[in-house]
Amino acid sequence: MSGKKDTDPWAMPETEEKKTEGGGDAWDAAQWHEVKKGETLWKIAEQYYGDGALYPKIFEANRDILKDPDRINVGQKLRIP
Amino acid sequence: MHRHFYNFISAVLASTLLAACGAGDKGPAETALKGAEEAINVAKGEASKYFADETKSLESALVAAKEKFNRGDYKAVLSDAPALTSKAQELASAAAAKKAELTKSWDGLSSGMPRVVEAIKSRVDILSQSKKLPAGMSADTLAQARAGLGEITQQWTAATDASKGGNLMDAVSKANSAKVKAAEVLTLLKMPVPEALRG
Repeated sequence: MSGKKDTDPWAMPETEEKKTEGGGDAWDAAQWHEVKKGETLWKIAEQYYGDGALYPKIFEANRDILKDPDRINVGQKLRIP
Repeated sequence: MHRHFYNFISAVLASTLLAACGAGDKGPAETALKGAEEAINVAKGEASKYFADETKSLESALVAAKEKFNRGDYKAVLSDAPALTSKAQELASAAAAKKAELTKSWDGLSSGMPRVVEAIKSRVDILSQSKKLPAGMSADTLAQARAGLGEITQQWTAATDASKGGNLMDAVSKANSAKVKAAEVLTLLKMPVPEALRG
């Protein structure tokens, strides 16, 4: 781990993260999408990437809440990598 | 005849007295000068990193005080040296405060920027695989974002190198440039700009 820090310019030090006034992470660059009625991962991939065939990227990024790429629920918040 | 003799004696006595007074100031002047030099030596290590001009000015003032001492102008040294000591102590305090401020900034940047860049890199990689870009995004925009990512990576590498070399001022400055560029690239990619990158 420490060896990685010496060579990887993106290695993160163990410091307290900056929080927003509301307690969120001020550095959080993740993009989120709340599932609406009638949406599919294909449609969401089309919206963000222009290509529905890239839906597995979204599925993989949300494996903690998605078990099946064909089953998403209204109101679910998906991280868009 | 007698009057001339007394005048001569008075003049000799006066000059002897003045010389004695001046010689009496030599010890305290030397002590004060040493005190100022020590204070400047203690301060200049860190101070020169953050307040280069002020540090040089203080060192020049010390050289001037030493010249006064060598000329035997001990009264002037006694007048100047305490002020130099005081300025050196103020400079040391200011440098310590600046270092603490920069360390805090660097800690935030080095913790947050890698995550921001990872998000940009991920999106650029995915969009590069897309057969058709999303509405409102052209191939040129994606090319700009890709070039921007390259710039950010270079700036960040330079910033971490500066930090490893102990140059916090340079590290924070370069990291802030990377931060500004990251905000531009996120906007190009129609991604949210984190609060830490705004303003």
